[in-house]
Amino acid sequence: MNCEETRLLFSDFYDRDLSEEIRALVRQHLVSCAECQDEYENFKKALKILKKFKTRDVPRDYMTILKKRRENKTLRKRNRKLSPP
Amino acid sequence: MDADEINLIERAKAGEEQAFNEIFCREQRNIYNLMLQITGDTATADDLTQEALFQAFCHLPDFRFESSFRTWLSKIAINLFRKECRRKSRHVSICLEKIKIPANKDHPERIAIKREMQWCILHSLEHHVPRKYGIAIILRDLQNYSYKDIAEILEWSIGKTKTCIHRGRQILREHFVNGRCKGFGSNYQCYCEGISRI
Repeated sequence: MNCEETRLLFSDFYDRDLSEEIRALVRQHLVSCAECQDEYENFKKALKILKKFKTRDVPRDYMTILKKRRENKTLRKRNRKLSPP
Repeated sequence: MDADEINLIERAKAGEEQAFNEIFCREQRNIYNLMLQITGDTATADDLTQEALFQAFCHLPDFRFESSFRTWLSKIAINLFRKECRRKSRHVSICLEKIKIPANKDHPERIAIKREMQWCILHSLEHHVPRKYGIAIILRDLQNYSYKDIAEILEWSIGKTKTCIHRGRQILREHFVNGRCKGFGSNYQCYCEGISRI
């Protein structure tokens, strides 16, 4: 496996989405090629940065808003039924 | 999907208020964060979350258990986002400019935001990765969806999903490396700093 082929598989290698056989070939190349090893380390670091993203609390209780909208919808439906054609 | 979730949704579909509240309540935070990650704008995320939850309520009888409830809800929210993008020019409606970051570089809040990299992550995904790749990366690496679920949400093939995530990750890596992002070393000198409008 050459450098280009290896780099194309970085994403699948990271996700463990490769067969054992191909995974072993990628690992073998990474051990023997310092440049690809460096590239893969950077690739992993970029994805680790994403993991630092912290989720936020909801700015308001959407259930209250949803309840109001549901009630309005029901009311509109009822009014349509009551109004003469 | 586990049996408890199926049971809960069945009860919600049958009109049981408590089940409805439980299933929607536990998803609201996730949907809000997904929309925030994709749009980078709290007001847009707020609007889209409200609308997505309402649409999910309206279409709940159509839910066929072909995916998890979360996947289904995410698909609704992303379709709303795409519709919004088509309706408005991207840079008018969805822009990181709207995140209120103090203009003064020495302002403690600005320093804190950047230290936590919230701004940097959203900015990079919004401005340095093509949008379709950015959304796929958010679903995979921030939301931890499987490739199968991402393909379902974005209505792509598994092959396209994998290719887009791979390309997006490569672009992101190049951006962080070229920008000498602080995640890669002590000398923080992200080139976003020079071209961003904040």
